[in-house]
Amino acid sequence: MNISTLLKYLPELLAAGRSFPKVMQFIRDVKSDLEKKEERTSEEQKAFIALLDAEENDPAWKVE
Amino acid sequence: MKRIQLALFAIALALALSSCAKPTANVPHSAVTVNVQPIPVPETTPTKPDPIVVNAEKVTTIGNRTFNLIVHLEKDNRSAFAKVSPSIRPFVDNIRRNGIQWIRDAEKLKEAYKQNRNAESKANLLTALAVISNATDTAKNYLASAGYGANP
Repeated sequence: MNISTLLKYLPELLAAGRSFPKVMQFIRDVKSDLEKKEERTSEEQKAFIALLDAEENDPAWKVE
Repeated sequence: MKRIQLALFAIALALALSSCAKPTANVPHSAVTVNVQPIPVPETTPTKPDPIVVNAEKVTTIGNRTFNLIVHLEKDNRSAFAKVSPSIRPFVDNIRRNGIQWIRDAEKLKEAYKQNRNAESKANLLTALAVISNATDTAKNYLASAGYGANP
């Protein structure tokens, strides 16, 4: 994911008001993911699997 | 400068050679006793992160974040996305059907690789990661075409 180019489009996204908080959060999260140099701890692994479980019950993930 | 380096190298070499055990010709091998001290092992040995595992976790984490973003944006902006391209929805629905399972499969294969780090387990893991990477790239392109992103 090219963060710098994504950042370039932020003013446009802000002006358009398109799900801006979700996109901002996504950029912050991915930036931190890319900087990670260690393997997940067992706690982080559990949290990741719990996240997948939660997504399975998220309405946005259901095919309509 | 080179002479000093050479002199230092010669001294280091001489010290290293003098510290090597030299069996004496007159003494049979069975008579040589070697006092071996056990090497102390720390209770928790720090392990170096395996780049295959670190990369696998980046691919699954970023893949999952991208999938989650596109399923939400597509649901929230369905008509706008449909105007951009009618093929976005079938792609996102495919993510909805299979995306989480792709991530789970890759996680299982990562654990299998961690248990047994051989060529086969590595290849299986990389194949699973390629599926996620391809879908992540396609999602990124759709987000860009819908005005969310990455490519000019």
